[in-house]
Amino acid sequence: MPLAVDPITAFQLPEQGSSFAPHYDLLYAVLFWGSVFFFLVLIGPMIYFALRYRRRPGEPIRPTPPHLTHNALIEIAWIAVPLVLVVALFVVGTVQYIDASVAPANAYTIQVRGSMWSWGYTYPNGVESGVLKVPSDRPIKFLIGSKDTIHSFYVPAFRLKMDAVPNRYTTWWFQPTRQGRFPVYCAEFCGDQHSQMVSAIEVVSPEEFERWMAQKLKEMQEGIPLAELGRRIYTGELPRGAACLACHSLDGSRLVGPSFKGLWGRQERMQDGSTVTVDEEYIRESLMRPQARIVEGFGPVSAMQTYEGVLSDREVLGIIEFLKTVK
Amino acid sequence: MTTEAPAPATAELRGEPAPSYLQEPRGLWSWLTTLDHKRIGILYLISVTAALFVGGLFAMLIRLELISPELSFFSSTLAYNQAFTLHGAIMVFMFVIPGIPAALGNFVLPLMLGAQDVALPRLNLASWYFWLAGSALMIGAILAGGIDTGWTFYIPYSSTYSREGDAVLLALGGVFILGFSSIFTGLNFVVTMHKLRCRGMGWFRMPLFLWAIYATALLQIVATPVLGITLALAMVERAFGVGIFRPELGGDPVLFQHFFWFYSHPAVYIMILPAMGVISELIAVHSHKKIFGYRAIAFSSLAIALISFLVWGHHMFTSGQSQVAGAVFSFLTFLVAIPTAIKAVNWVATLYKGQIALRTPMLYALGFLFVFIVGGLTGIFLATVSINLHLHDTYFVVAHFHYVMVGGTVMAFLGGLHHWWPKMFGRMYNERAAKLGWLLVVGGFIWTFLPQFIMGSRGMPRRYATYNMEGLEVHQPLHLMSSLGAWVIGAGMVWTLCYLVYSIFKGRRAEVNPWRAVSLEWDVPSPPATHNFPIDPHVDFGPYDFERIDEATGLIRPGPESQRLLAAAAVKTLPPGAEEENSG
Amino acid sequence: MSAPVAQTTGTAAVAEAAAEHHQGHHPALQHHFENLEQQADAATLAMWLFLVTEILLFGGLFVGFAIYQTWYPELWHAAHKKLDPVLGTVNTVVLLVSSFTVAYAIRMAQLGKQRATSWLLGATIALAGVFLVVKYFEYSHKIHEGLLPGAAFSHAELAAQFSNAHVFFSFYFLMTGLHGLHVLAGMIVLGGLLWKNARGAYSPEYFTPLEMGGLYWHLVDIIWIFLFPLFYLIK
Ligand code: HEM
Ligand SMILES: [Cu+2]
Ligand SMILES: [Cu+2]
Repeated sequence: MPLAVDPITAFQLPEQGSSFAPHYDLLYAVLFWGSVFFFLVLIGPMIYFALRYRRRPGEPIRPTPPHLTHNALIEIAWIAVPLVLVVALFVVGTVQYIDASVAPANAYTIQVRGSMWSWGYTYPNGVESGVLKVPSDRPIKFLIGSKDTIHSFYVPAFRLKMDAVPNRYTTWWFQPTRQGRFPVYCAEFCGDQHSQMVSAIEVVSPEEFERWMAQKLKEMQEGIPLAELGRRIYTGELPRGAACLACHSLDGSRLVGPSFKGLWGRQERMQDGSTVTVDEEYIRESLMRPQARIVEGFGPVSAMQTYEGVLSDREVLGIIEFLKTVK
Repeated sequence: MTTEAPAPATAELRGEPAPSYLQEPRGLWSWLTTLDHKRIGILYLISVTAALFVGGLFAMLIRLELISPELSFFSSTLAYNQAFTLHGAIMVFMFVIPGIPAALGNFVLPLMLGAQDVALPRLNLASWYFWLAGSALMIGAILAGGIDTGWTFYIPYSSTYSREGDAVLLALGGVFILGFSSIFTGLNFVVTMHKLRCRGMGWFRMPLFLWAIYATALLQIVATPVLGITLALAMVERAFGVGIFRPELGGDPVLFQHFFWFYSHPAVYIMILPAMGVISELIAVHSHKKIFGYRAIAFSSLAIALISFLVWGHHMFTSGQSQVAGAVFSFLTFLVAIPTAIKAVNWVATLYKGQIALRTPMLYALGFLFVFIVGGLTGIFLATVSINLHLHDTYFVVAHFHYVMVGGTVMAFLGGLHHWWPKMFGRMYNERAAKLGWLLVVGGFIWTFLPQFIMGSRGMPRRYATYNMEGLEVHQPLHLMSSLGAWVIGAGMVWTLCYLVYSIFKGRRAEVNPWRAVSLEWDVPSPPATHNFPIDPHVDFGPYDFERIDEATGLIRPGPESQRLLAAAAVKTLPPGAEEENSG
Repeated sequence: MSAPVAQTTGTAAVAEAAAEHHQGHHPALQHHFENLEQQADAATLAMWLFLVTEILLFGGLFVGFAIYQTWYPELWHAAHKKLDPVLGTVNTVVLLVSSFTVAYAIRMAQLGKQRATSWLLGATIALAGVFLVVKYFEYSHKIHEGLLPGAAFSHAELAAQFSNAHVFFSFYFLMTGLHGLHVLAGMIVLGGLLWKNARGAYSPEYFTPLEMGGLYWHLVDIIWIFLFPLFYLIK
């Protein structure tokens, strides 16, 4: 049930379609009324003073008494009060932001691919589609990339957008709160048809989604599923540079590099002391820029060479899907 | 007139005006080769005003198109994209950045300091020629087919996909050169403020406008070279493809954005700090009251300049930077709001128990406050990173930065122009005409841009040529309203131009000190002589010590030291022609 | 006497001094300065600020270089081996010596030794020329091997190992090229100073332009001092 806080958000913000939207709208309303308050606090006196303290023609200029030129207490107060307020806003805003950008582990991941000037979607089972249907019963995560220039995947009803950048994955996720059709726009200028680069998310019942998906799967007569494609590359059946298996075992034994047994979702400690949760972007980065982050106990530099330019996007996705299956 | 042809200095002391800087020397050539900061200020004023009107023309075209959801006015979306790109690039790089410092600042800065000129007059002139050269390249870009990259020149669109490659190169080159023009101005002002303050002019006796210009100049010096190298790299990428930014060559386009905003965020403060300085002057002078919290305002300028280097990432919350980076940039952005708030509150506090004259410059200052506060508060919305996820790259951002750049900088520019106009041209404009102009500009502004906040928060993305797609047609009434408002601003600007130009020829002659201000530019004739001060000034009062005004004459009452020395000087006769070499 | 047109603030110090002010001043003194010292101070401050902008201009490239080095350390290591450290060292020495000669030229000007100044300026320009000649040989070698920026890159061995080896050479040519342009600009500036010095423009009282030229040349030198280990001595 949306936390319908305030009539103001009704005309300022679009319909809500995600679990994030009510939180967003609440914070927006706080900002809005807070701003109205401070606006009045400043503009009210301004108008009053400007009318009240008019200079009459010929009136001699009075020297300004010292208490009207500075006052340490007041000046400190109007540093301190805004400071406290913005720090509070910062905390709330950042918590919300982390919430919106870190998907729950069970999220259903769909790859979004921007290209001039349309959106394409790839489902975990390898089904590719020009329309985006999602089931209403689970969190959905988008893995966003671009084929050419930068786009931005924007769904106002969910209050979320993220750029589609070539050579990178970005993500956001949402939990649908109702079924329906929600427009998708491109929010980063990308050329002639930028404004027409529209699409829509259809949130449908799980049953309807299964029916649609089964149909789609059937349509995909040939073409290897992603995970299988990934397995073949991993083992070298499908040669793409050095086979991963040469250095990364699947059974826990240590070769040149770390074993990938149970890799997906694991917390890895890095050489520099940080920890990383193994996700799509980490795997993609490790393939494209092996030196960027190195697992503790390997290194100082990685023996691995970049697969930049070697692997296609679909192949990278395949490897990711395959690694998810390695328990 | 005496027959012995006295030197200008002595003539002035006797009450006979020396020829003004507008009169002597004569001829177009003398203007094009002038080293006089006042003339360079005027040259800049004419140039940036021209840029303002050209940029404004493009804005009108954009608003015409957006009246209807389908493509209606332009022949193609490409043409629309070119229009908004040129609008943004011309306004930002050719008008707003040089506007106040190079036009108004050049004119008043040495006068306020009690200096005879800026430290490096030749560099000052070079700055203007660089502006011309950079602008010529921009015009070249239009002739070469136009650019459709947006003023931000994001790669890879600009490097790879935009079709008119030559035009992109010309525009990048133009902005590169405009950057040098800006560096020259900033560098010159810093040196001038350090080395050419007159006797008695301590740092805390400088008008707050100069503090703001000082902070701006530091930003110009430190940030602009980074823009220079970024644009140079973008040019090389476009022309040869070196793979530093271009993704298809193994480069990283997000790195370009980091480089670009490392300059362009400080640049937004290059745009607003001088405006804040102007507002401090206008509010104090037209309230005839010492400014509240002089030091707080002065130091907040420096604080803003400093923090502005650490917040560039708030333009990239949705570009896939790490969550940590997002949080850090959000926090630092919030910090900028503090010194900004200090200024706003101190301005309002200055009005308290003042002796306020609601003349046009003051009206612009009040209009500035009204509008700029909205701009600043909506900046807080955008700085809240979760809120930004929805608002980024929508009309909300468009409205935000128009509130701060047009509502802020343009209004301060107009306020400053009306404030110093009598000094620049020695004529008064018609006060009632000016008030009408103010009403049109401020009213039209709010009318145009307030609807854009609502559209943006409701999800209307920016840089859209059409909006006849699912879910966007509903914005048509607000778009229409915005487009109508644009005509009101346009009318206000044209009207302002008309009565100001008219006043140069037909206006009442201005007194030396029409507003009863006490900074030094009001202690020389209106308009000033070529040689700023017949005798080097000596100050023993602060910039807002209005009680030093002699009501009868409107002049500043000389301090004891000046009195003694002036008396001594008045009886001395300088050798004939002694000052002549200074002109030209 | 009627009310003055303006200027009630004033020091007669200047009015008093005005008589001699305009007779005995140095020909190089500009009207808006009070004396040569103030003028030299202003010029020096301006020059330092200009050097700051130059450093920041290169700074952008240095930052980009460092970022890529952390992303692709093996590439950086393999690619730097294609540069010739001997030629790099020679050029470093050449520039260091030229910094010395220009400093000495200023010293001679201070002492009023006009001829020595000219000779030393000439030597500086010649050393700058040597630097550029060495760079010319380095560049032509790289071009010959196909070690070129971006799409022009055609070095088979590196290309086989790395998909984007060209980025290293993009940085190499951009950074040393921009530096080379600065060397060229320095030669022109020093040439101008040499010409004016030969005509007796400078004296122990007035040699500010020489100092400014010298500062600029030191900057060109210092930038190279950073470029050299970054490119030639990667570990
Ligand atoms: C309280 C002070 C301010 C805060 C907290 C603030 C905050 C922000 C934030 C967070 C953004 C990024 C919005 C986005 O793209 O998602 C932004 C955009 C922008 N701001 Fe501000 N801002 C402030 C004042 C100013 C001032 C004074 C100016 C200029 C005079 C300015 C000019 C701009 C511009 C030009 C953009 C958009 C650039 C673009 O994408 O084309 N802001 N501001
Ligand atoms: Cu787009
Ligand atoms: Cu910013």
